[in-house]
Amino acid sequence: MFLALKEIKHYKLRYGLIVTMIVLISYLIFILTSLAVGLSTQNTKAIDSWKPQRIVLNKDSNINISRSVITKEQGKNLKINPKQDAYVGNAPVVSSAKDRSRVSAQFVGLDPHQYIYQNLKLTSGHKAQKNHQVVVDTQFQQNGYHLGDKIKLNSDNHSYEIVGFTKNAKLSIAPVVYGSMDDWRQLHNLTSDFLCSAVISKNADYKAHNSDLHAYSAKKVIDELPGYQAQNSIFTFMIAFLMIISLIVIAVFLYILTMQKLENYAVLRAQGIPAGVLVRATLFQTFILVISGIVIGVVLTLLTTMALGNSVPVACDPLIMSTTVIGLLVTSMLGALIPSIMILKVDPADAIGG
Amino acid sequence: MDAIKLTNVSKSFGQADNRFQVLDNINFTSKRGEVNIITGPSGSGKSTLLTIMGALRDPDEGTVLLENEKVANLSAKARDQFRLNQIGFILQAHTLVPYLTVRDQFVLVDKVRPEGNMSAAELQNLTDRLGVSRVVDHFPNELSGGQSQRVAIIRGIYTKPNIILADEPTASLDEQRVTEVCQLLSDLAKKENKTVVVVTHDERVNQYADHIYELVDGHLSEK
Repeated sequence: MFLALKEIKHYKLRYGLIVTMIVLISYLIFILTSLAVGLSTQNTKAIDSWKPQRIVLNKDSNINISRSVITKEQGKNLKINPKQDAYVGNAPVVSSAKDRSRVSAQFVGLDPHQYIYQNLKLTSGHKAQKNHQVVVDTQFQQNGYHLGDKIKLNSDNHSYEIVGFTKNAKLSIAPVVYGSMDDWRQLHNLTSDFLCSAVISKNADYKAHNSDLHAYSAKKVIDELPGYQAQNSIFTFMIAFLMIISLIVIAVFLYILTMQKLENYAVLRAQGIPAGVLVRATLFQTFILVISGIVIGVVLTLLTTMALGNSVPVACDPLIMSTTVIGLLVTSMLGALIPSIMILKVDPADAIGG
Repeated sequence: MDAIKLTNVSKSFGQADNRFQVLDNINFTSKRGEVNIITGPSGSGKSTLLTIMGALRDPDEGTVLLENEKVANLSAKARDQFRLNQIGFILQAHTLVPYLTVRDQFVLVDKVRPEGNMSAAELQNLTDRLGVSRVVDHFPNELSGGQSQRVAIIRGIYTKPNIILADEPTASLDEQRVTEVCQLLSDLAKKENKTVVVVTHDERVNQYADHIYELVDGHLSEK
C-alpha cells in the first residue's frame, strides 16, 4: 500500500490520466447499462406492475399480447379468481387531440372487478368508471395532456376523456392507455363474442383449459415482445465488449508502467524486498485507480441521468449497476495480472548486471 | 568465522559454441571484520561474482556458504529473507526508488522488516556523517550524483547486515567523500565486525583493504 500510494502521489499527472481514462470507460459502460435498463423496463413496466406468473394467449398469436384474441367460446373454461387473474384487451393505438401532439400508445382494456383494475395506482384523477373514460401514463402529461382532455384513439369517432394519470405504465416502449374491455372491442372492431387479448394470472400453475389457448410463463411473453431480446442482446454485447476493452487498456497501461519500473523492482528484489510486496503494491494500485475511476463514473452517470430526465429512457438499477461495477473491477484486476507476472519474473541479479 | 566462503565456483553463460566461461574455479574466503577489494577489467566477471556472493545467482559448479548457510539449498522466499536480513547491497546511485524521498527509502524497509534496522538516532548520525541529512525529504532526482550515491550507501547498510557487498560505491564521489565512505566501510568491518566486499576500479579505495583481489579472465588471485 505504501509503495502504491507514494507512487500515485508522486506521479499525479500520469495516474490522473489513467484515472481519467477509467472514468471515461466506466461512464460509457454505466450510461449504456442505464440506457439498456431504461429501454428494457419501458418495454415491460406495465406487465411488471401486474406481477404476472402465467399469461394465457391464443396459440396463433405468436406469443404476442397485442395480436392475441380470445373468444368467449375459447375462454369458457378459464377459471378466473378476480384477486389474482384478470382479462386484458390490448391494442396499439395512436392518440390525438386538438392542439396536442400525437402519441403512439398501447390501449389496455381492463375489467373493473379484477385485480389489475383494482390495484391500479394513480398519480392524479380517478379510475375509469365507464366506457370512453381512460387512465393514461404520465408521459401524456409531459406531452401536454391534462385531466379532462378529450382524445381520439386511431380513427374511432368516439372521444375518450382522460380521467386519471398513472406512473410506470409502459408497454413496448409506448405509454399505456387504460380503458374498458368494451372500448377495447370497439377499437379492435370486435363483437361481444370476444372476451379479451390475454388472461394475466399471478398463479404459476394457471391452466388455459382449451386447445386453442396456451398459458405461457410471463418471462416467455416478455422475451417475445417485438425487438425486446434483440435490443437486450445488442446492449449486452456492447457492454461486454467495453468491459474487454477496459481490461485490455488497463493491462496495456499497467504493462508499460511496470516495464518502466522493472529496474527498480530488480533492485528492491536484490535488497530482499519480497516479490509479494511488489505484486500487492501493483494490485492495490490498480484497485485504487479503478475504484476512483468507477466512483467518478458512477457520479457522472447519476448526474447525467438526472439531467436527462424523461427525455431519454435511462434508469439506474442498483443491482445491475453493482454487478457492472464488480464486472469492471474484476476485469481490471485481471488486467493487473500481466504486470504482476512480470514482477514475479524479475531477476534481482539484473540490479547488478554482469 | 567465515562470513563468505566460495569453493571451486565456476559460472558460464550461453550454450554450446556460444558458451562463455565467466568464473573459473574461484576460491574465496572472507572473515568477519575484513574489507576485501576486488578489481579487474570490465567484463572480467566482477559483477557476476558479486551476484553469487549476494545469493542472487547460483554457480554452475562449486559451493557457496554465506554465514555458514548453503544458499543453494534455500527456497526463493528464504533467499529473499536471507538477503533482507544478512546482505547489504550498496548499488550505484540510480538504484534508488525514484518516487520515494530519501526518508521514505528507509520507511519502505521498515514496512517490510519492522525489527532490526537502524534506529532513528543511528540513521540521523549516519546521514550527518555522510552529509545528506539536509536532503532527507528530497526525491532522488533532486539530489546530486554524489548525494544519491551516499544515500544508496546508507540504504545498503540500513538493515545492519553482516555481509556488505558494494558495487563501485565511490564512482560519483569527490576525494573527501571517498575518504568518508571508505572510512565508514572500514569502521563497519572493524568496529561492528561486518564483512565488506567492494568491487571497484577506484584505486583510492585500496588503502582501506585487508585483501585486494584481481579478477582476470575468470580467475581470481590475491595481489
